[in-house]
Amino acid sequence: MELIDLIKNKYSIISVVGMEKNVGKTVVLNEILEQVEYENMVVAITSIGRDGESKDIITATDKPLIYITEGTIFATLELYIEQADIEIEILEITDRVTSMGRIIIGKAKQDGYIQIAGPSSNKGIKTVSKKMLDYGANLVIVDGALNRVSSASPAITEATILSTGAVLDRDMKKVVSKTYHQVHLFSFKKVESENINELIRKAIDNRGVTLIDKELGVKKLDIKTALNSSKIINKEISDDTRYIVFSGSLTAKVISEIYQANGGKDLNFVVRDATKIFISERELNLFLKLGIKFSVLDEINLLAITINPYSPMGYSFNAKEFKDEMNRYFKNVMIYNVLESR
Amino acid sequence: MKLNESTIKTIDCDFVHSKIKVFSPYGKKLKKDLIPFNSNQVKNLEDEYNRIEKIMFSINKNKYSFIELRNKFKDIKNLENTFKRLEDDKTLTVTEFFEIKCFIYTIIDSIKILDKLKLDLEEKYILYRTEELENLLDPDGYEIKSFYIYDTYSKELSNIRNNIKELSMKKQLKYKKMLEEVKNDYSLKILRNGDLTVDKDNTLLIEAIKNDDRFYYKSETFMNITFIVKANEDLDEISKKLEELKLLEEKETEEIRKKLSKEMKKQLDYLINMNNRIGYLDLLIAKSYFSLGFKGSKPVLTDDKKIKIIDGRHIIVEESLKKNDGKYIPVSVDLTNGVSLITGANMGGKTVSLKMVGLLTYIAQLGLFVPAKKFEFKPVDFIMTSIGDYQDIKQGLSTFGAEVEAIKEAIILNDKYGLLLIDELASGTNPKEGFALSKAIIDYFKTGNGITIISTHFDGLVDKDIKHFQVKGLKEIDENSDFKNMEKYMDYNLIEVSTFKEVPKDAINISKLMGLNKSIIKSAENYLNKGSEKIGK
Repeated sequence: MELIDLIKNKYSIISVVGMEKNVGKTVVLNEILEQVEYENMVVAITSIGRDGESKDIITATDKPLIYITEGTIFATLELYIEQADIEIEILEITDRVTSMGRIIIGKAKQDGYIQIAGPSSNKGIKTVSKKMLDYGANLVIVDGALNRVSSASPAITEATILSTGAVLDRDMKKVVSKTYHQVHLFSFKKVESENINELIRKAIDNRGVTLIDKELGVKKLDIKTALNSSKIINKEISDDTRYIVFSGSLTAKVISEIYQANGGKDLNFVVRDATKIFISERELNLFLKLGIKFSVLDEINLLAITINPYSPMGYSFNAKEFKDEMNRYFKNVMIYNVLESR
Repeated sequence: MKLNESTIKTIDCDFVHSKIKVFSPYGKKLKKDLIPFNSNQVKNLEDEYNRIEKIMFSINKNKYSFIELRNKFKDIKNLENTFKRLEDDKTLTVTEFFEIKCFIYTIIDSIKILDKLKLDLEEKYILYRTEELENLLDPDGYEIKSFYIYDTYSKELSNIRNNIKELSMKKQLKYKKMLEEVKNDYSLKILRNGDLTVDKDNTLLIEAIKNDDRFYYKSETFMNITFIVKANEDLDEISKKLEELKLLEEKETEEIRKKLSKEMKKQLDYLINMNNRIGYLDLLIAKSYFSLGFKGSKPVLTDDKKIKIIDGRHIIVEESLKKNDGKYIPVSVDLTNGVSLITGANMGGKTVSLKMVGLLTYIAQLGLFVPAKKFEFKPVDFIMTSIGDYQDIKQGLSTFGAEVEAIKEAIILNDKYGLLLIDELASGTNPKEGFALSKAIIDYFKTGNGITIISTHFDGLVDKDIKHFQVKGLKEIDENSDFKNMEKYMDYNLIEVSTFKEVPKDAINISKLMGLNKSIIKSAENYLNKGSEKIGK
């Protein structure tokens, strides 16, 4: 079974995210692009850019070269279009402007390498992906990120491939457990009631922190982000409060401060998607034991986990052992070693 | 038209400009530089009103077409830089050609919409096409809004590209075959680029690969070695050729871009012209939308020095009242050169009415329709105001100081025909002197060329040579009247009073409404009856 078999005819926008750098995400992207070629599909690619950074920092981070074939559609910076070593047909100059310049949608007229850096916001990624589908792509691949720097998240795509690898830790067990934690976060679900979800969507669009009570009363709190704001939140929480909706990041500190002041209450912490929660495995287990509930607005549909047994730090795992260990933990997810023989 | 700083602030010219919404880059530039017509440009002003009337009429009939047209304008990128580069004989990039092509399509699409609208405007607003330029950027006649250095541009390019395509295919097939062979021999995964990574533990395999001359060593880490499948001589030959062809292609496309840029430069005048015309059209449409949005009426131009407003609305106050579910009561006033006095108690809307006159005159002279049932005027040379800001911390002398400054400025312009608005004349100083000064100022301006409006508390400033308007003021109030609904009891309308009339004593009633201590109210009424009218007389 190949990655493409999980994707084709099921999804039109997918993302690939790496647990860290050097987990082999680029290999995965190139691999999918290669597999797509045999399927006679028109593929499009973009990546989640980073916002609010100065030019030199961005150029210093590796936006990898991706090998694309003739007919591939992509959205990238104007700068990279000019640097590309292939001939490109310009399809559109989008309204999306990043600190690095404008985002352009183009089509490769030859095979070759190009650097891809797309919009940095959810809205930008969504619009650009939709446009590329309109230009005839059957599949859009979003090169994603799991960090605080990007505001866009893989949750806006229909399915996500997670890349992990030896680079996370010298201890294989730790790599597996770190990945397990990430997948656990990815498994957070929506609130079951559609009505409440609608309220949550509005609350998140309105930014800041919002409380929803059991009668579906909504109260927007006068704070910009959740950081250091637990005092204000605690003051407003009543016995009827059920959901605390955070439009930005949610940290362990905030959760425990709210829990300590409101122990015993039936509270559900809601974030836009799992990439907005920043808690360790140990903290998560503790919170869940205490009965704290977590929900998301946008679920992440995990399609597969790719593994890379090699670390550029100079060590590696036995590929078979690594894969077996992963398979033992992740029974329902496909584990795929991109460096392995088919 | 001259405006002092205080005028721009107090009548809030920025608000007016912010409500004129343009979309094209040149339209934005024109809007930024938009200033009122001069008093001697009566003909231009009239033409502008007529154009706007035409467009307003068309908008009402073809709402959707105008939305479409403005969406087209919105898509136009700022091309100034590209124009500049063409002018300087620079070679444009593929992206720049694409932008110009998009612009041309915007022109074509706009023309299609405009043809249906039949606006019948002057040359300055008319868009037209040039086949030459269209063919240049769409040599194959695809009519697709994308751009690429097409093979059609040169036979040479087409040949090079065909060769590249052929060779690449050949190379790929050959390499693929080689990879397949290696893969079969070793049953290992080899990446598309030919990379093969082996664990160092696997010494046997490593030995075998090292002895296999189809591989060469690429890199290694602590634990593994990466080899790459070597291309054979045949493939190397192809790769070399491909590299050469790629270089040729690059050279040729650059040559083509150079040529195209040269051809494009010949069309620069057309491009700039269309860019400007879209800007003019954009601004004109924006002004028409403003006029429609605020339910404006077409100003009537006269030769007499006058400003006559029937049911004028101060749009900013009106908007904020609307937000609070209040209703703005339109005000009518008929002003001629000389002095007009507005009297009435505090909170009677005198200041708003003064500002309204200034605002409406400004709007009219920008070439917009005016938020009034009727607006008749002769365009002014200046609008000067001295309208104190209640939020201003600087009170007393500095308010008075600012007033004196404004009046000094107006005196310089007294031979000109303009609008001078003074709120609460001399209220920042002691009543006796204030009254004397007011009298003198009124005497000075009442024979002037301009229209001067002064609001005041003082009784006795009214004189037979000047117009006198009174705020109707409070209606009947009783014990149950409630300050929160002050608007309900207040009639902001101005009535022109011909016979001498005392300034209405609404201040005490308003204080009553606002819940001021009853004994104070009583005592004030007593003083009033005892004849404290001395003040100001």
